[in-house]
Amino acid sequence: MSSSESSVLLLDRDDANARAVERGLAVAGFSVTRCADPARLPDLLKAGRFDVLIADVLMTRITDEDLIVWARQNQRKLRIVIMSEFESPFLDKQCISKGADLFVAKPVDLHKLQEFLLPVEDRTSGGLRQSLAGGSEGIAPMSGATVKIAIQRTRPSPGPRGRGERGTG
Amino acid sequence: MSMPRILIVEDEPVVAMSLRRHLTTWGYHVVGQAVRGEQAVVLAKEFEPDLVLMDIQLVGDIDGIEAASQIRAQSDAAVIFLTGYSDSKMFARARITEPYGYLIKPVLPKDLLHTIETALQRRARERGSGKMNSA
Repeated sequence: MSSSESSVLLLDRDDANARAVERGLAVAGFSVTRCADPARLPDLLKAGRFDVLIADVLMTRITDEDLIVWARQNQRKLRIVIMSEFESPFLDKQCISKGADLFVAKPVDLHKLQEFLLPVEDRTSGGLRQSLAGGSEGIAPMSGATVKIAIQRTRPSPGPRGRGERGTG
Repeated sequence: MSMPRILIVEDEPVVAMSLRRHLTTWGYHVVGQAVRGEQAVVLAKEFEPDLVLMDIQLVGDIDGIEAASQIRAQSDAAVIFLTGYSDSKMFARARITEPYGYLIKPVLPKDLLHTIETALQRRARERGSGKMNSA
């Protein structure tokens, strides 16, 4: 399975996250179908021949049947990625035990998603990482499913600023 | 579909690095990084970013609000202010430049992502409707 042939079904009501994931995967050559209604999932999976399902964990609990269990039972080859706003080891284990292949926290680290989605040959030749890194502007991906912004107030006071040279330019 | 191009204007290296890493991880293309307002105006003209993440208090002769005003006069880049301070005078000044967002540090990653995506969506809509004029 190469990235250009892979088809992804993205199930998420978080529009900002879904847009970012959709765009990131589309740039890398994936075909992405977005859906915000879990009730449509069975029909979409039956008709769409998706390779990957990426779903918010909250969306898996809306129907009577657990979507992870249902998807695993009915689409054995489907790769399942579950997203959550919470970086929870318990939730991670729970999703994996139900049949999910990967658990990621939001906002989704697209590099981590790449490691999971791209076959080995695509990873070694650059693949998604190269496109996400924006050429030479790129920075090595962060480790871990989530990252915390380390923005702190580092300035002692809001008073007038000096005019000396600072930073990297 | 292409990756949105973002310019970071931040004079705190640690914050700038953190922003850059997050934006890259989320699939955005960081086209440049400025530490002074004057530099931001030049880089915005050169790289034509879709969006500028702008710290307000910067070293140099002009602050982030003035830099945003100059950038908006020459391009249709969406500007989101990121500041450690939130006094009403500063906010009133910032509002005049019609920013697409105003975030107080520290910022939660999901709040940053949501603000960026909302801004990009609004910008695309405004460009589509012809409300904004290219420089």
